[in-house]
Amino acid sequence: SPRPVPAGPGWACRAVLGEGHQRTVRKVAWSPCGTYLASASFDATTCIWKKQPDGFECVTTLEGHENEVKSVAWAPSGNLLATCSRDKSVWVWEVDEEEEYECVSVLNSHTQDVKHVVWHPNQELLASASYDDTVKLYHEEEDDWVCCATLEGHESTVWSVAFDRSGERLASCSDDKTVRVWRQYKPGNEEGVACSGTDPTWKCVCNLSGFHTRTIYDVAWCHLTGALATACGDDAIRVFEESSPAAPQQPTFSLAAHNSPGRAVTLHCSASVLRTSVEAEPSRKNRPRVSFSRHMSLMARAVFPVSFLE
Amino acid sequence: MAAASSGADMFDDIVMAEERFHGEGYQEGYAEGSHIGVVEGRRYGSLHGAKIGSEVGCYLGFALTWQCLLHKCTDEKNSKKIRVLDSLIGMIQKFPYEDPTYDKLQEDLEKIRGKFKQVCSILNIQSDFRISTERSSLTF
Repeated sequence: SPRPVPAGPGWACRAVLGEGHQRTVRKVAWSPCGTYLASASFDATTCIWKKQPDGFECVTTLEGHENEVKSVAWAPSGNLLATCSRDKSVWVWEVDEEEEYECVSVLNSHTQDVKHVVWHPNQELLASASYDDTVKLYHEEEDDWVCCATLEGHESTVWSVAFDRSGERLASCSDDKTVRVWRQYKPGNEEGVACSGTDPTWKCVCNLSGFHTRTIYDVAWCHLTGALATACGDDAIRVFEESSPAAPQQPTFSLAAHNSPGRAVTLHCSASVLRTSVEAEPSRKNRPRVSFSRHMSLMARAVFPVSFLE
Repeated sequence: MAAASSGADMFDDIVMAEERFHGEGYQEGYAEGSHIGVVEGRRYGSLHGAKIGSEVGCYLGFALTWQCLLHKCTDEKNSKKIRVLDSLIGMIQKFPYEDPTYDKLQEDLEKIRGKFKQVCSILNIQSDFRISTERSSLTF
């Protein structure tokens, strides 16, 4: 078994998975059990890699999307996987004990490029963010997956979505430079929010605007502290904390200030964070490589993506 | 008095002639344009409808053929395939072809397309069929 990597500034590259994709690898995701790694690529495929004692082996390639796969995410149960693409669709895949993957649904609800998919922390509920300015939610209903909610409000592309620890709330970030927090209202809720049938209604309860000066590409919600972090095209990472304890129907988030009061509250992180943007170079026949480097493109002036350590 | 008012009416006709002709011309043009519009719209609708019919018909033929081919297979793996095929056939047969004003028309069509993609994935068939290598793939 591999030696444990010492924590600290040293990170050793353990494996280079160069033979799987023919184009940009846009997203990678570890399965909840940690044995599998899914990689979503612009070559329209998603590879599933299995961790072996001596490296990683590609156990299967999921095909079907018509063009660039933008995101992939594992459900907490580990049995389901979701992918989304520029072809406007979201695919839900199921994996069985024999490591066989099967497509259980192709969802064509979005009207434009789908940028991101994420699973609810404890339910089989899926969220997707799209260039069509909406967030959509999906669940299984009578043996088929359906879109059960559409969150409208953003004025431009929604780049990413994150659930809070309980899954009662969802944060979305957008090209419109705002982060919106949405809350679930179940049928029969005491606030009197109308619901259709047994599906909960999601309403926007907070709109963080005026903090970001460019497109916000990613948002992460810390499941330990409840803090929100954003990755923005103005080269900054911002961390927001919820003002306690506000009315749950109208939460307020404020920028977590650094030491000196009165100064600009934007947090700029250390060099190590600036360098975590991973660029996978198109694999060349004999020398494929994945390297950690600063993005050189326009969008890459942004910090993209951002996540909390579990 | 009578002579004076009839004199004013006579000039009125001449003075208002342009406006009157303009109005009449507009009415005639509007009627003609509406008629041409209906004809063109009908032609366009007919083409568009045929395209959708052709696409859905293709999915139906494909699904019925596979249903037939897998008809005798009773093992677990194939029962899943048959279930999904049945689901696609059911969706297609339930679709209201006679009603272009059906409010969920686009939504149901997208569901049919999604189900077709799922069927292809499960049958391990590429959904962009190529009839022959030289010809372009079957696109809708």
